Amino acid sequence: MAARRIGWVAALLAIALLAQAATRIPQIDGKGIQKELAKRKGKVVVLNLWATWCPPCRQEFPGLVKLYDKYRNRGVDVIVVSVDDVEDEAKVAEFLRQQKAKMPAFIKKPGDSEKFINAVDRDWPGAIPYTVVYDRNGKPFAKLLGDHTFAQFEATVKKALAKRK
Amino acid sequence: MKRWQKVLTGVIVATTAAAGALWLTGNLFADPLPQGRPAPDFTLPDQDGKQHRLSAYRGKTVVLAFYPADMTPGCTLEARSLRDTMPEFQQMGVQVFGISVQDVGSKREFCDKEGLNYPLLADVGGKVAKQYGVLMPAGLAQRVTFIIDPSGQIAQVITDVNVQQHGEQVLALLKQQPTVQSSANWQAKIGQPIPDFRLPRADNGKMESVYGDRKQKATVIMFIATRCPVSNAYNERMRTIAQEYMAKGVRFVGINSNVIEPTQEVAEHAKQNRFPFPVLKDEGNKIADRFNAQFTPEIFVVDAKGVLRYHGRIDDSQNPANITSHDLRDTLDALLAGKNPPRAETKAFGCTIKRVR
Repeated sequence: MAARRIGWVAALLAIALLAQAATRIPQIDGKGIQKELAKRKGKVVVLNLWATWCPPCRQEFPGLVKLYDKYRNRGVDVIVVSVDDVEDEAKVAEFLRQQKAKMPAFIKKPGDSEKFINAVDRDWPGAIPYTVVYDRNGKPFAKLLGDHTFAQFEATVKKALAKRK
Repeated sequence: MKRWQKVLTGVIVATTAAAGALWLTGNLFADPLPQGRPAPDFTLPDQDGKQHRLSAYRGKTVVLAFYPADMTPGCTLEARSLRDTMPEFQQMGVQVFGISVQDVGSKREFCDKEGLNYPLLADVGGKVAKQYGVLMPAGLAQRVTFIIDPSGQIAQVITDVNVQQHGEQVLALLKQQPTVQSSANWQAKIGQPIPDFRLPRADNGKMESVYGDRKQKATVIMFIATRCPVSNAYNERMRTIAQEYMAKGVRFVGINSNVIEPTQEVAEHAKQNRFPFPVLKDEGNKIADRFNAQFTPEIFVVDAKGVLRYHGRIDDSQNPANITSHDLRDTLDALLAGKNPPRAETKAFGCTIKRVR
């Protein structure tokens, strides 16, 4: 009887651990972001900085999901980086699941926020949502502060795509 | 007459003559308020009987031209010169006033006759002239022009008025002064002065000057929000830091520039959080644009001289348990000790300020 109970507990624990592993979101710092961008040279990249505590970020998120789904095979990649505290990782994971977000997603590594902000973009005051669209050479093409609609994202991406290499 | 009588008479005559000369030609010895002093406030009617309060022009450069009398030759030349340079003053956002001791009717006549395009103030009795130290014993104002900066301080005193080209004379001086020149369209910059500005209080709609009575040792301007979780995470810290430093002579002002947060909500939010400082509503985010403020909470600290010394965050963690750098406190401690703030600019995550589109 007791052995059986232990078995159940172990099974539950295993499921819980697996579930947690599944929700693990890779942590990233400013350098890491630059690396991710470098990997994608040749593509237009949309980098979005957001947080679960930020209502306009949540509001614009479906537009980013739609953008990724529509343009992922057309030379565009979307990367989302949450600046939530890592303790709130579960909240971030839950939100991404709700949004059916399939794009590469990261959470900010614990550490100096200011260093992170400056490493992403010196011009960025730290306000979110913040979206940088990079051209195919990896150069910032547009910087969008505040929430934007799918149509606005799409228009910017199209312009970036139309830009000659 | 004995010798000592002669000497005494001589002394008495000389003293009387000197005193009389001093009294009669008071304009030579009068003492206009010097540069750097606060310009005394006043309310006076213009040629149309419209009342002008000087302090209502804070945020603008004001030219206050005292002259002896309406329709006299010198004053007419001076007035014409100012009239003809008015477009340039307007372009610079400068407010010009003529001022003398004659009444409203006399001002009306003078304006009509010369087609004057700027207000002439009737300082009947010369009370204002006296406050500015330009009242001559004859009861007329001395010909002196004061340039008053956007913060309400006397920036220039012109005693050698060139009546024929007074407009050009004032313009030349204005152009030498960077703060004055940019006052119509200033942008906040570390190390540069922030002119006074006025916004309505969220709680009672009354206009409030950002600098208030100007007695403070520093002014903390905080762009805040009612719905931003980051700004809200700082409500308690804003209250306690404000209470602590207000007691040390620092002034705190909250500004809400978010288009989506109505005045009523801003007032209630301030009350609920027991903010000990006024919260002003920046309709149309005009002031946020001047500061290029982008997020909440975003802090600007101005020193006693009105110069911007710090821009950035309150501290480095939304979670009070994880703070490692108390930037606002460090800034204020430094300024109160007469030192430079350790860092002039810092960054943090915050909510974007929702602007009118």
